[in-house]
Amino acid sequence: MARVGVFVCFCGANIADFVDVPTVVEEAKKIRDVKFAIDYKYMCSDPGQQMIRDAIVQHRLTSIVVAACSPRMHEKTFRKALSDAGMNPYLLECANIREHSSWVHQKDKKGATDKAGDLVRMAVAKSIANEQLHEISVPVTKRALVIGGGIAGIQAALDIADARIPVTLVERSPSIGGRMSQLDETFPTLDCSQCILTPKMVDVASHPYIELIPYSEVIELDGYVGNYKAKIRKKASYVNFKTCTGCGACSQKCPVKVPNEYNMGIDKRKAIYTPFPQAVPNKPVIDAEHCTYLLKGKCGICAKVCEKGSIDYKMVDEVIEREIGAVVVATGYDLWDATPYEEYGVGRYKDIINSLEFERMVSANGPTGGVPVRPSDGKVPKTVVFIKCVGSRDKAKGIEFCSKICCMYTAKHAILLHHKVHDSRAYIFYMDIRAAGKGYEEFVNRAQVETGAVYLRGRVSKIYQKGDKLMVRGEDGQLGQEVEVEADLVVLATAVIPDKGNPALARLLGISYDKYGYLSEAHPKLRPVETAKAGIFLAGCTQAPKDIPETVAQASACAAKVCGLFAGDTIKKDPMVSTVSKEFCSGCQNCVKVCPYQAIVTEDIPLGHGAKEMRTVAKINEGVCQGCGSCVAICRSMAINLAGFTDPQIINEIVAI
Amino acid sequence: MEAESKDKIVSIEKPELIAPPDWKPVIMGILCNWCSYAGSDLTGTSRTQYPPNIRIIRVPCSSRVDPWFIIKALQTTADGVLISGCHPGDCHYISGNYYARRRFLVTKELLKMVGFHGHRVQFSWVSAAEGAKFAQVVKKVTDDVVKLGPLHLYKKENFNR
Amino acid sequence: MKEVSYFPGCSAHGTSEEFDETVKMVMKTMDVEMEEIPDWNCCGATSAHTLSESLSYALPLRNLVLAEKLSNDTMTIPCASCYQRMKATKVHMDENPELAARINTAVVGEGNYEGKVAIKSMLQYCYEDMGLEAIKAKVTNPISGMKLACYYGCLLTRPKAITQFDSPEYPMSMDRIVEALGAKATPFDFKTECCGASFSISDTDIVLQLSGKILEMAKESGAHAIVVACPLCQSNLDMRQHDIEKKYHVKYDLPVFYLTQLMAIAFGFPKAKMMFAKHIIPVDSALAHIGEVIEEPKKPVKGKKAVQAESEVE
Repeated sequence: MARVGVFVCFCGANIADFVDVPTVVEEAKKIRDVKFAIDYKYMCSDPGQQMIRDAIVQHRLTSIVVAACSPRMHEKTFRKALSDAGMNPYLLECANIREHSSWVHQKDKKGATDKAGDLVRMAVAKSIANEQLHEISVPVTKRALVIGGGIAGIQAALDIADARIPVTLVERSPSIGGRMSQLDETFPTLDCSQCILTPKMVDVASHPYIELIPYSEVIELDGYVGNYKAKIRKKASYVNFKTCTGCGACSQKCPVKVPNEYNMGIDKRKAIYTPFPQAVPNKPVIDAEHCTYLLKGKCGICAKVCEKGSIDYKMVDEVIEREIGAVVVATGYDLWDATPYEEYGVGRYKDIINSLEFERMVSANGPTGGVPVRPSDGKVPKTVVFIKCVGSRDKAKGIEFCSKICCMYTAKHAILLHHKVHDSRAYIFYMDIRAAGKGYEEFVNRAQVETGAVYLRGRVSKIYQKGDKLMVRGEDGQLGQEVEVEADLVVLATAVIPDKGNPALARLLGISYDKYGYLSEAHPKLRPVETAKAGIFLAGCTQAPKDIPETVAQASACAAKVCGLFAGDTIKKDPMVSTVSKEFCSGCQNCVKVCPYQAIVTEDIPLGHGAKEMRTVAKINEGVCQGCGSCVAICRSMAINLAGFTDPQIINEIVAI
Repeated sequence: MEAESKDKIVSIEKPELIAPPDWKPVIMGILCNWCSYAGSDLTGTSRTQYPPNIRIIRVPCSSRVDPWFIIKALQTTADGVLISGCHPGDCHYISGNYYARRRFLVTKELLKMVGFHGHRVQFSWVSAAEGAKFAQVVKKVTDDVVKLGPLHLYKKENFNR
Repeated sequence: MKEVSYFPGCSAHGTSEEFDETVKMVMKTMDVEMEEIPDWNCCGATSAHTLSESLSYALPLRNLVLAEKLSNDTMTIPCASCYQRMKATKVHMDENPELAARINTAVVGEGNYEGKVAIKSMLQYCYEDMGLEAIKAKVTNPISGMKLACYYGCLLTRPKAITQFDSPEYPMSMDRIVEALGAKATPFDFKTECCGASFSISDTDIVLQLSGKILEMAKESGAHAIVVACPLCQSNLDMRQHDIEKKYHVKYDLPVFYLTQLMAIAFGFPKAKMMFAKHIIPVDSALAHIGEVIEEPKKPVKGKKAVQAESEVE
């Protein structure tokens, strides 16, 4: 006979204001198997947990129902309370009467209370069928995979490697460095981006625990936490990195010119190229889409000038495999394409550029030698209009969220403009100045006071050309009137969006992403670097817009998580896995086909006791099984059950209402 | 999911069944843990309101839903059933929601053949970010079931004939 | 032979008679038979929807219901304002069944609105249903040599949710049509700016200011004339031009054509039939450019050139 204990939580006023908690307790007491029911203000608090522990011992309870918040919130907390009292933690069931009742039926107390009662009844019914389960130990492969070699990936890789854990760093482009390597100086201290980044890049290349695989992409990830297997496609570089000295003769002689991605297309690179002088690894690759030899079989100049004979036109893509235990995703950001802002003439006027283009122009190693120029005629602009929130905070045309970094980098751009062109003036149209951060507000003040940047609070409604000037018409909200600025150059702080490949990558990794394409963290507040899939972590702008300090902090947090995961030789795994009752298994192997993890194999067992004839049955590898339950629903002979979600448990829930 | 136009089978359910005044429908919601259950939690966190008729059961994945559950629910307690999983392509378990969708379609056809109205069993995709959508889905399902009336009256009418 | 329902609106029978006339010429050339909605009524224009929402839907709705009685699947409307009211009514009725049920009661006796007739402005009909190629094929007297600033005004492409046609900020359909006629459309940034519309009567100064800016930018773009597809745009830019010139001490001398007038000329109709006498700004100077060869301006001296997307070989 089951002896169930029911514990109903007030959650302060969160539940008690909209659900009549004492009634729920009274209803619970009427259930046959409930031997004890009580309410408390905060069940998750220490006294609340103590009540559970005491009741387990006092009333010899066989299973526990906690009616409180979502099990996604506190299931672990209460399970721990059970095991502290010497009870198997999986004899707990949560009735979600907060997210599913009190918070969503705030205008219907009776309805909410009835529903809470039903949810408790269902949980009690389920808990009666609960079984004692034990965590599974699985071995762990102590190697981390870092996807993306920007500052986030670099920091995560270095921190993990410093703990003497091997790291494989995969970068899509020919060099690591990412967006940060494109920046000139960084706010709020104006230290040179390259100066602080390149030493880290070199550290990555020379670190004994880091395996750097540039110009490659992850194409497959199998397995589960601690035991992933990644397939990485190394794109053909057509250059033998082992013999190449990086002398650069090939790039100098190559006749093909292609817009230079590193400089946002402002100048050109060759078809065989290193992205920028400080690239790591400092070896060229051939861009197969543009190389005349690879396209038409003519040219071959790079092979002729290479003294080492490192050019190999026959090289093909190569797929390599790595066994890893954890993944850090750091794929970074892109800028939103502002074409929908037709009233600004984006795409029609050459002298409207985005912030990264401006960043490259003012950068000392940039295409214009550190002086901003007008793309239309090459003149140095005297009046530059910066427009913030282009695409950000704009539900109608762009994206609803705030891109977070634009306020600060636009202030920086105003200062840099002043440094490079002394007699220039910056006009900045803004909605709000969001300068929350250490030294940030001071930095914006500096831009306003030191450089005389004119901050105009209002939106720009139109940009049109008059002669060779761009007329920027907007609103000065503080004066409450329309203003027109005659600009030489317009810089749009377009929204920060995640890398376009994020949805595809998320599917490949089996993690989720939001409507913008940002990868989703497990919990927005309490688990900001983890994903819902164990062993996969997020760093940097792949999760949300972030500045460099935040990105570095999150990358280090990822490293701490990885090190924690790898601290022991085994890791604990939820026991919610499928099991086969061999006696019922007919050997149809439908379960083998539906298992997304190849966790089900077959084995031969004797037909009967002592029989010599054999029959085939399914066998589940509990280390690999992730507990989705596909096999359970497909099994015709009901031979498979999923621990924690068995047929009796769910049917009990269904009939209990 | 409502392939009503293709229907050759006409529901023998009579929507004009008169429900007793105190009747409140019971909807059985079976949600996958990673998307729809998380989405329903978000509905709560954002305090979006919906009718209190749904009783939610958590399963790891929509592919865990055995047609038996749906039938059992309609047989015993529920006037309607809602199954919800991750959006296609977003399944936490890679491909589970595709199995769920196929299995659900077949089950629904079967139930319609027996005479249930298609609106008694519904399927939706709700992601962990779609708290507002979950409320809409629940509202729609509840409204549909309210229109159809109590299932036990229907059964009485049909089984006593 | 295609058939289309036609809603002329009040201005076509008054101030913009030349629009009406030339629309008929264009349609005839393009083998389209126009069937005027019998017993049509006022669309409500700008007054109705400032007074009563129901009225602003009920007035156009009667016309929509009458249009449905004809067998044509499309109704075309020359006036931008009429078009806007009809299309807004259709979109709202189609999307909001409750509104549809309520407003339908206003037209009891005329029949029930079913939403089966597509509504298109004259510009949209020319661009989408006739097509540029077909228009080009009918051109016997190309108007090459003319540089034209195409002015769409505020109602032909906006709001996007209602018109569902072309870009709301920088439309190009009219530009493409005049180019199909042989003319050159100048890059004109003020093609959707407000002309002042019906303030023409109540607060003329606003119109002088707004329309003045449009004329200034059109002149700046190098245009010989402005092309419009809306009676009110035409009247503000044409009729008020002398006042604007006087007030701001400038000289524009920009005739304002209806698109269909230029189409009719290109299709070979005699100028005498265009009713140019109704225009305030004489059109002859602009029409005199027909046949001139436009010299493409030389590319600016090579500076820091913007980079093309494709690769190039040295």
